[in-house]
Amino acid sequence: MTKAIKNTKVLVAMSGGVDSSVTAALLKSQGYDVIGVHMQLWDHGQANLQRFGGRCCSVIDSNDARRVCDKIDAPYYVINAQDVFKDKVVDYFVHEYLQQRTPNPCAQCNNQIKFNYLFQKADELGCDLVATGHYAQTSQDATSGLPRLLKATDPQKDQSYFLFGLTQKALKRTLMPLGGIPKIMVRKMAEEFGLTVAQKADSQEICFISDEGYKDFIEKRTAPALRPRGVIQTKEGSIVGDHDGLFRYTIGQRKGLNLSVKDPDKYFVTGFDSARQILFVGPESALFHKEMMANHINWIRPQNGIQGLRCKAKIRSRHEESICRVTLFENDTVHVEFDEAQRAITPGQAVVFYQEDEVLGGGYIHSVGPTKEGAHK
Amino acid sequence: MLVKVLASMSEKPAIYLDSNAGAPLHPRVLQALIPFFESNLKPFPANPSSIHSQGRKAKRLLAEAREQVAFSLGDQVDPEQVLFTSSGTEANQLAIRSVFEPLFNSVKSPHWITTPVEHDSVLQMVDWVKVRGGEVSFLPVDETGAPKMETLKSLWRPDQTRLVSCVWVNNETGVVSDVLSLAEFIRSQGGVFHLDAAQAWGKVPLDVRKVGADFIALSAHKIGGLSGTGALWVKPGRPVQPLLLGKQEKGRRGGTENLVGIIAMGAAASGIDALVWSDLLEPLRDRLENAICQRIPGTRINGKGARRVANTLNLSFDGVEGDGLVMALDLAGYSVSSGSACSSGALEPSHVLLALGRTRQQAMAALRISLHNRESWDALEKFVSTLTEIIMRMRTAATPS
Repeated sequence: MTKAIKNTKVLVAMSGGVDSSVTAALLKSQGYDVIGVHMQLWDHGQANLQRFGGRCCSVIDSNDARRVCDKIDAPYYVINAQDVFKDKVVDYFVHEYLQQRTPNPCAQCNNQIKFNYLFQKADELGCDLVATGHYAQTSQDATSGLPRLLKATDPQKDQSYFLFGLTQKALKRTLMPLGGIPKIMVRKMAEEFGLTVAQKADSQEICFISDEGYKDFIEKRTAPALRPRGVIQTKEGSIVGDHDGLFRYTIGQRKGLNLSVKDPDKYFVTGFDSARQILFVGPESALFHKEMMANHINWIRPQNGIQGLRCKAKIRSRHEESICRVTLFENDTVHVEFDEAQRAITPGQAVVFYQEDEVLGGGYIHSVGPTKEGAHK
Repeated sequence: MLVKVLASMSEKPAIYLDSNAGAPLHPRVLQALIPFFESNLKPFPANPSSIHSQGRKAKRLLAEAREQVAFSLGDQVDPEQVLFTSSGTEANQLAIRSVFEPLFNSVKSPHWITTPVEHDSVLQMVDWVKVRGGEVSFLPVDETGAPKMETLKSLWRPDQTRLVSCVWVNNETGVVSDVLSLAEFIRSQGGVFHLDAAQAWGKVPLDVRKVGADFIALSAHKIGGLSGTGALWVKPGRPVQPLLLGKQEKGRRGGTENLVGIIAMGAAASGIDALVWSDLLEPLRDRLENAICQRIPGTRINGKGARRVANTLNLSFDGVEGDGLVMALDLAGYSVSSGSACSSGALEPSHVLLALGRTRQQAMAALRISLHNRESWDALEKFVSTLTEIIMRMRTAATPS
């Protein structure tokens, strides 16, 4: 960076939580020209007025972020991103479930909102850089000079999985200063900076879904014809129950199936037949697969002609990354073969590829097995 | 380079071009308040209801302010018809409640006619009327945003229609409604006319006897008073249904009076001269409008062609959508406004511009410039240059690369 820090304008994405607040205070103390921006993504209505743990976009969160900016003497704006959030994240979330996929709205929000829409706002406001409170790091590749995306040093808080969609263009302008700091230190820093949010609870769950849960959320927003009822079958073909719509189930789910079998605890959701609205169940062993296809792949640094690349892959945020071979096809599709079979490979979830601490890229799981049809039928 | 230019600008004191949101304090307000606060140190307990000398003094100040406000509403206006409120919002809602509250028990489906370009404080009452069994119709607006008065006749229901509420000067576009012909028709039908004059006070000559309204709502900070003060002029004989019960304001509005705010409002009202104000600002506004249109292609003037108050300019720029413009201008040191903010501080699309047929994204990007009488052309010329740079930058940012 040739420009002096002093004259560098940084748009800091502020949720009102402790991480983004410390990000803003830290950058300000380093001399950056900080502009705090809170994105209003969702209208919680009446719930706006209550402090309810773990969900953002309430008026209180906006005010918390505002108070932090008052404290560090930075301009603060609330951006209305409700239309774009509904379009790119909420509708996507609903559509995915209706297609028997289990979406990852946080990755989608990062790709579409934080590292896309927000960059447009940064351009409009004349900001050079965008900073977030994500726990991930960037560095420069020694040979190519291209920016790389790395895991956070605090493995408990690492959020690099959700950032696989970052482009070179975005990464060049992104600061994530918390990536090298343990969470416990971040809270201490918040106290030292005198920020009121130092002890605020971490966010959890999906921000736009309140206590009602995702099933009610989807039912409220879709016509019943889009989510018909059907039967639950074993792979062998015996009908063992009824379901209230395939969107209510996730691969690997065991609870809440209400099966009329002898040992209901031994049955897991293994797949769907969306044409006939059948929910397949089977023993846990049927959940394990070695191969999968994924698409909408983004490589953080450009990659060409990948044939049997050995790396590690993570197939959900709480998954322990596992060794695999990746082969790249046209249309940003990859075939992944794990050394060991993985439990509950779930279409719709993100798969992210790592080499050591570097995030190579990632995409969305399309299907299990080598064929488009998947192995469940 | 631009970034540096803007950064250095932001260190200067901001240029305030948002007078319709809140006008700069009128010099007479300070002149009135300083002696008030000084005498308060003696002490001067400011409860106008007290019997002792200090209380009587407070009451006298209250009465004088009431006279000043009444005087600003035309010759021989009875000060006792001026009722102090906390805001223009309270004044508007008090007027609507005063008409409808008694009707719900006596009239089947009482009918209210208003417009889609009212202030939020009036539109909030639509649901209030509806849930109590009333019915609401909206007077359509033309392409400038002015309510179409000629359609009032077709909306009128002789057995049901009791009240018409209309904004005189639109706060966003500055468009002046033709309230005189409106009042005439309403009077001929025996209806009640509630006029929201919050943005008109001080901007157009106001004479309550000529206007022919039954309720006129006013707001102090639009004329250089303090926010948190408003007033409702009530035609003699019109009953008021109090929102707050109490003995103050002749039983029409309870709660110890906001003496500081009321003194300030009286002082600001005494400084009103709409004609002088207009003569001063209209050439400045027109010059600004021409300069912007010349410098920035694809500029649209919202409300162009209608009668507008002298200080207001509402603009849309082709290819500029969303809510970044006001923020970018603020960072460059210019205070302007756009749409209206919700409780979190996020901008909502302007309902006024939506009523004019703009899209949600366009309605969020409209720029309202409202001048006050202490702005120089030099400052405005610099504003035009900055605005041009920012519009060009935003158009580039909006183009997918």
